[in-house]
Amino acid sequence: MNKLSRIQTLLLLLLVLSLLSNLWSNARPMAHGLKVLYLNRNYLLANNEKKLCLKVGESFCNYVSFIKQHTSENATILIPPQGYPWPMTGNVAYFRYFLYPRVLINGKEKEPGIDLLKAKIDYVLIDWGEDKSTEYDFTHGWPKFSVPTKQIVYMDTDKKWGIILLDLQKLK
Amino acid sequence: MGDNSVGFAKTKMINILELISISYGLIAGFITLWLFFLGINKFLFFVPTILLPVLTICLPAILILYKKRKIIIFPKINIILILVVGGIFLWSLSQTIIWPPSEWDALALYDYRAVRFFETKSLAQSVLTNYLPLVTYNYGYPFFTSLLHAFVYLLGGSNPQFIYSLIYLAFIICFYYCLARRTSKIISMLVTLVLATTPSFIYQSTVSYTNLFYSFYLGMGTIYLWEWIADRKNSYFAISAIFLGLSTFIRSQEPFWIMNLFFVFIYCLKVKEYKKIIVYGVIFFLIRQPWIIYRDSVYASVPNLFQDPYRFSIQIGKIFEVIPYVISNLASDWKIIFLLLIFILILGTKQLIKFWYITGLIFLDFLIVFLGTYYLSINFDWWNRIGGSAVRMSMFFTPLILYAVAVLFFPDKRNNA
Repeated sequence: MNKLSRIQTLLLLLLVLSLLSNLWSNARPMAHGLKVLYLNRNYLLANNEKKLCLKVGESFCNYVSFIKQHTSENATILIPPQGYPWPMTGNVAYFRYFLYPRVLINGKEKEPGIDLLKAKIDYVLIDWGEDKSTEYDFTHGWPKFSVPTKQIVYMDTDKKWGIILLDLQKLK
Repeated sequence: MGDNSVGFAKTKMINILELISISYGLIAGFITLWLFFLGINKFLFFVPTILLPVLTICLPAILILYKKRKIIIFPKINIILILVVGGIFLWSLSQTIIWPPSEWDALALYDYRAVRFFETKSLAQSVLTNYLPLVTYNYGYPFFTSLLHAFVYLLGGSNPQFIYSLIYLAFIICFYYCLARRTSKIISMLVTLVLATTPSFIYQSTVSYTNLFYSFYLGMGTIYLWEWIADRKNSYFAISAIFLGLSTFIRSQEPFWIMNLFFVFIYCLKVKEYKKIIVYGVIFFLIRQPWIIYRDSVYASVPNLFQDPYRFSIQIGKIFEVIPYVISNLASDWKIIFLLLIFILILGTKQLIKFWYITGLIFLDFLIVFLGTYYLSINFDWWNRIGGSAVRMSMFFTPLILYAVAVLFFPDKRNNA
């Protein structure tokens, strides 16, 4: 066997190993993909909104529906700061996909972080946080500051989720 | 005819499967560029305005193809390849047809923009610039995949994800036939199977991210450049320039294209084909520049828009942090592909010189990965938290390395495509 042939053999071996390793790595996720399809076979003919809810989480979707139901489309809403425990509801870029054309603006954890009057904020979310983990010293529950309130609507009996309709007249 | 020192066989037949696969890439690119052209010229997106030019190009192309039918071949394909690639493709299609876009970046950016394009029948500039903190995010990536999604929505579709399964199939077919021209059937099959089963490629074929389209255009743009050097077919040269241009309409920040241009410049000087440098550059910049000009004009139109000023300095300590960081990230994701790359560098001294145009370009692209990460490291504290992003950005190396392994170490002069 000449030098090149030995190299070829070695490379062939690596290629075959790579192929086997790939097949092994793919087996589980591909089987999982099919299993998810099978388990959710009732959803196969559902509309995309329902399928999306299945993917992003039912509780998140319920909260989105609640907000949509209690706010007008041209509303401006103050949402929690970006970071855990609000990875989805504190991320303007992500959350806007579900709430457009409402305008979303990040607040800070313990203060609005913005002039509510100047920014024409109509609503402030009451947002416990959709994730168990936290970061940047954030703790669950938001807002942690008081705002001039016209009406509060809770989504749940624990009062962890809801929305505050602001009374901006009080700030004037 | 120019330099043919690389000694590859020449092929004259048109492979219909490869042609259809290339056409998919070209048509996807043409549709998005056309929609972009309509948008920047304030024409609204309506079905006749978006379909007419596509049909105007496709119908004559089909006629030309019909006239050339004698040189069209429908190649035999290895049954193992059909089973494996076909199986993966069908699995991927089962995911993309059933599930709508649901991944983070798809919702936050790509599909969000697409839905706005569809609703406003325009490039939705007023929507994308109405919230100052997100303006640079909205325009951080060119509109390619968003416009392609919008195209599906405009034609009445409700879920555009199938386009990613199709680009996967097109990618594998193009790659296979490029290899089949250069190596034996068994090697081209084996190497293609390795690419086709690469987990990141399969995953990316099921999600609405930019990575697979970007890898296709940049990877195949580079491979067709090598094919041109081998065969001197002008069509490969043009496809390479178009694909490279389209890669910048998907991701404009990554500067890998510079190396391809630099390489074309050096190679054409070497073989004294000076016109080719201009042709390649013109095609490339005609595709790349409109987005850059448009994005900059949008930024200029937004008052108080803050863009981080970038800086550059030589920091030895950072260099020694960046090199192991990049290598460890790539090695952990590529695994055996990374080993293959090391073996090429260690064992293939003769081949490295003979096929300098392949290894040289891969080396230059690697240089970009290191330089890019270094540049990021001196500008942002969070640079070492984007390992996954760097790996996805580098997906296009996998086909290049596999192609290099096959061509450098298993060359076959027979024309078996």
